[in-house]
Amino acid sequence: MINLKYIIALIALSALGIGCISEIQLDTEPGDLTTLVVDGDFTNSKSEHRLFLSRPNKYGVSKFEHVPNAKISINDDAGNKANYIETLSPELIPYYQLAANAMPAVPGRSYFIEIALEDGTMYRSAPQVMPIFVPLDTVRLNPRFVPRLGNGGIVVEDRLAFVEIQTPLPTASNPIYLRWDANCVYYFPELPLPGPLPPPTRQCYVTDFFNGQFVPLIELRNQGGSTFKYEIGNKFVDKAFEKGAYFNVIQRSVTAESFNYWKKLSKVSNPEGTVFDAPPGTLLGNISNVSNPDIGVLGFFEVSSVDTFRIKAFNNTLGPDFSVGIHCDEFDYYRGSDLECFDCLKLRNSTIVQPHYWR
Amino acid sequence: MHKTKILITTYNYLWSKFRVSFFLLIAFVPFALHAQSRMNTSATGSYKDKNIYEILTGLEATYNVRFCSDPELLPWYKLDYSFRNKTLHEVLKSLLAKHTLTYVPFNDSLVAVCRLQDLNGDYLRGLKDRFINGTIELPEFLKPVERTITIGEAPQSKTTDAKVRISGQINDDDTGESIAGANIMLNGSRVGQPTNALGQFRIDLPAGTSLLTIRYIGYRDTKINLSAWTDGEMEIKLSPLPLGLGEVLIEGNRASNKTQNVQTAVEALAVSTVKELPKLLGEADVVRSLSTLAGVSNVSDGATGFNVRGGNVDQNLTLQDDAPLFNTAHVLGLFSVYNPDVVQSVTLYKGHVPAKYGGRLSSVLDVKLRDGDFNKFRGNIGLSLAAARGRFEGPIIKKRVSIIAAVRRSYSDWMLQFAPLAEGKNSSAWFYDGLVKVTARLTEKSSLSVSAYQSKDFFRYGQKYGYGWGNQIFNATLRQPLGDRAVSVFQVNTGRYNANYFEPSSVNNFNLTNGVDYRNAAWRVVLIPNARNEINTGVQWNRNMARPEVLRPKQSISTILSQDVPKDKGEEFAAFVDDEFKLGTRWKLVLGARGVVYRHFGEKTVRIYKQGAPITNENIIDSINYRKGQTINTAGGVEPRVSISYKLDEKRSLKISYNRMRQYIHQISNLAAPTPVDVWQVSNTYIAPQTGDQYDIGYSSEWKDRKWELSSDLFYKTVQDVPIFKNLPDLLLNPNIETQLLAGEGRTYGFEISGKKNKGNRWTGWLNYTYVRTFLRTPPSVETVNKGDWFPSDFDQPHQINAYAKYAFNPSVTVGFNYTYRMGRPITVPNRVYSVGGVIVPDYSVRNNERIPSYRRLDFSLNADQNKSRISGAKFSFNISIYNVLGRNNPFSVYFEKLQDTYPKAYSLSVIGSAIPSIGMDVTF
Repeated sequence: MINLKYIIALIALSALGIGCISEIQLDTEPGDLTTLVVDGDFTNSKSEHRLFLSRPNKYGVSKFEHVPNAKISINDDAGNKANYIETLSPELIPYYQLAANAMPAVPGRSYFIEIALEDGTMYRSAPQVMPIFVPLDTVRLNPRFVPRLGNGGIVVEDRLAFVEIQTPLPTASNPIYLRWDANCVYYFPELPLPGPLPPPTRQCYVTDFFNGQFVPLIELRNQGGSTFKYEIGNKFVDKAFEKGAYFNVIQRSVTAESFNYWKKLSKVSNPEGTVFDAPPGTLLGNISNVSNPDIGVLGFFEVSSVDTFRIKAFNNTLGPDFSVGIHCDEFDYYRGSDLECFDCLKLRNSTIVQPHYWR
Repeated sequence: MHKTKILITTYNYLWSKFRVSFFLLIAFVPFALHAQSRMNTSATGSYKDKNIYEILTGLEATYNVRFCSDPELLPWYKLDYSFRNKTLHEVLKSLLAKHTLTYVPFNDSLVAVCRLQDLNGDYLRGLKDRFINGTIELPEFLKPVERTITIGEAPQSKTTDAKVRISGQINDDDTGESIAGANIMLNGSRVGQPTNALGQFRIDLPAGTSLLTIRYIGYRDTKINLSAWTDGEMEIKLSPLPLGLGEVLIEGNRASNKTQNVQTAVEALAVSTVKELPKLLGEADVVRSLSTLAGVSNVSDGATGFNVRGGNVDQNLTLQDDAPLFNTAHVLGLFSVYNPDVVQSVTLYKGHVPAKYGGRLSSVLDVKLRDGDFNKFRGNIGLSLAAARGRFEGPIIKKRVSIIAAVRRSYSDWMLQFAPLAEGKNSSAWFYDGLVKVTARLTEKSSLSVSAYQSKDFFRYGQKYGYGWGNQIFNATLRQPLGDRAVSVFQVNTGRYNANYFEPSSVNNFNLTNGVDYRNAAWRVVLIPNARNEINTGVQWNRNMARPEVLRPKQSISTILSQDVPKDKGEEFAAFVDDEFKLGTRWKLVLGARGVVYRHFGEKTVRIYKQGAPITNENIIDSINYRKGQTINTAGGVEPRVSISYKLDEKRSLKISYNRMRQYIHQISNLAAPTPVDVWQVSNTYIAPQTGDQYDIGYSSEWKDRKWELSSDLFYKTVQDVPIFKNLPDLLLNPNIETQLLAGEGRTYGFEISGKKNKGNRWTGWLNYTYVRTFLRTPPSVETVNKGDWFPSDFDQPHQINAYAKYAFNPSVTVGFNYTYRMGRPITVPNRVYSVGGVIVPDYSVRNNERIPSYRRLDFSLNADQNKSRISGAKFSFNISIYNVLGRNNPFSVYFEKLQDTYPKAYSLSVIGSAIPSIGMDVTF
């Protein structure tokens, strides 16, 4: 992976706008698309545990084939075992489900999964010890203007809301590895279509991720007993704030192996541009092919302790400099623009299913 | 017809310039009318390597006319000039006009030649008077030095077939230093015999009188009327021309004569060429100039270092007065640390590498710095858009002790004010470098020089992050003769390369430092036992101590914890010998070898890994502590160095060479273009020295007294134990860096063709084409990358073209065009994607599976240089350059970035994406 900061340094040196960045199209021969991808976790959460089995796809495609009819079990070091069942989410996405109470999540106990595919190939994850629980104390939003170089070399100032967490660190574990999953879910009601008999309007709930799916994580050493503050990501101040949005933060206390995996994954999938960036390569996780160890397996099965915190933000939450205007009006229809205003499911990651926490 | 033409031309010129009185016209028209017959005389002639005064003297005999001029005011440079069936008017017109000279006939047989700016009545009358009175004197520097030497006594009875053998030593009259490569020509022959590395020659002559002419660029010709009746010896001292020729002409370097020298693929880059090539922001640059040579490339604009025949940047041994430089980059690679004002010679060994060099696989860049002037004070001041330079030199004790001091300081900060981003405006970028060198002549042939060099770079991008790095070198060299046939050179160097990367203001603010300390000492002897042998031998000691990687928080609020990662130390003990000798008249050989014992030593804790298992942290089973200085492991071996040259005739030669090289220090970089803070790692228990074997077959030919040259090389190289990083390694701050690397192997093959026009009144230049392929792989083992398959290295750029053309309006005013084409270098791009935790992850399962777009660049330069036309006083030179005339977006690399939850998109990044005009000037005094 190229060292982005080194490059930006070179660009800055050229100083007079003589450097340039432009998107290019690659026509690369696809790699092996039959490799198994495992994506799942086992936590202390009171809700179900999900595990996804899929195959890679060609570069540029973001849909991934589900691997059906696998037999999956989770095992602990006390000899307990529980099986996953194959099911569908409300959005009709297939996955394997482990019921919340099927296996007790006990800090200090180790867990692994076994997967048997339809063709008989066996896979197994390396055992991981359930880490100590680290509670999440507070989440707040810090608004800031951030300049960036826009098209044609014009400087544009983005309005961003930075998501800051506060968490008291326990003394019982050192080091502590934390990773966060965070998103913003906002309310987006449709406008009625013009005409005498418009269909009923719908209310959508749209999920936005932070920083292009940047994976926030940190290693904390010798800081037990203190309160830790950290900005885990940011979100553009846009239409999401107009009608109200929930910022959901899941704090995961993870193992060292998981931390290293996600650190590398983060760098591969979203380089920070530091000298610590990993060069490109295939990222292998903690799953191995028992039937043929020479065949690599992608993905990771994570064992973690989680805590969830959510806050709701409105148009005036961030102050007058960060308020947003009305995104949709009925004239959009005649202008032929913003069709999402009349069909909210056109928005990425939108659903009409109200989240259980929405009030 | 011609009379009228002369009058009109003269009149128009004078009138347009308003610089001559009406009197001039009236006074000289009658003489011009009389001159018709001489001017119409037709003749043919040819002059080679003559200055204008000498050509005019030659024309006097041809046309039976006398020329009257101030020789001191005529250009001193030498040129070739031929004419066929031309009238004197045509000859003078074509000869003089392009040198801003003109002529005015006084009468039928006397013609004045003068500079255009001197063309007025008073001057011409005075000139004529001085000519008639015989008071015009030829300046000393234009006269050859003439000496008469007699060896033995003339026999009473002369035998016509007797031969005598004359040995000679040629030295600089001012410094006493021997002059290597001076030409000794017999009885007017244009083909001479060069002096060897000690300035010695041996020549067989018929007994009796002979005329020897000794010629070397930058010195007055010396003519020896030799009466030799017996074998004997003589010493000849050449007088330097009263000009700073060292600054502009280094073409007498032996390495530049590919047909005559025995080594394959050695390139000498004249400093004058470095200064004439198109510049970036007005700064002449040695390393950028290297990329105009066959087989030399770099990643792109702004890349640190250079690549030779597809090798890594760290595989080049870059020397400055024999001291190694670990990072030659200023301003993240836009410029290099070599200050051209103090550079004396630039030699690049790509094929055969003499045995005195070692420790790198691809090439040796040997940059020698000048000594200060022993006789008078002089210097120069230069300004460009990027930096200001100053050089000062002169005698501390006349003819005994000299000093040269030079400094450069950039003022690039001001440019950042134009940066589009706020971070850019608040950024800082500067560099400086400085050199002081004192040379003392202890005796006539021995000298001691001591130099200190320091460079420093700093770059900060807003308050976000920054880099800093610098080189320090201290050097002492004692040169002493050992009898008449040998000279000894004892040298010690100590130096440091240090670098840091910092992030000043985030919650994770930190400062990371690393670098290399080194010490080395060498004792070399150049021994010339006879005219056919030249032996270079000696011993060397070289210690490299990688500095610890130190991570520190910059402020107390930082979440970063201090971390110190000690690094390895190693030293090489080497003995070497090269014997360059002749067999008959056609064969030349260099047989050499270098023996090295390498020692990796403590203090260090060495991890022991499970045998047969991959070297990973999980497989550490034990550790052994070594105390300070204790040997941990050793390596090394003999490195044969052989080169053979066969002269097909005087103008063509075939060569073949074989080299073995070993490299004991490696730059561990995760980028194709290294950053300043990339880790330098010496060989240790688990990281073996790299071993390279290179075979080279070369052909060189020249025509018309080296006016044209053609050379080509076919090469094949294998490399063992080249460090290849594993997938997604952690290279920084890793105490067990061997867990991130695998020992790979490499192979390189290709050919280079280079055509060059060295001389010409108008056009000179070169055209180079290189085809080179470089591949790497990890041999079958418990752990491989890329499934153990061969993959192209980061610097595999198969097709490379460099062309340079210079057009001289006159020797002082030239324009140059430089064109570079390189096929895009390989990069690793994702060939599939998958999803984990809602993150779309690009997967890079095949190394270097794509190429960035090709690199093409055309540059232009206009140079005006009074150093080549003025004899005394301050001399100005100006340069106007346009870098990347076509404004092409040559990519530095391709990177991937994701926006929102889409798949990663590929972006091409160009550091220089538009044409960059610049201006620079120098004043030499």
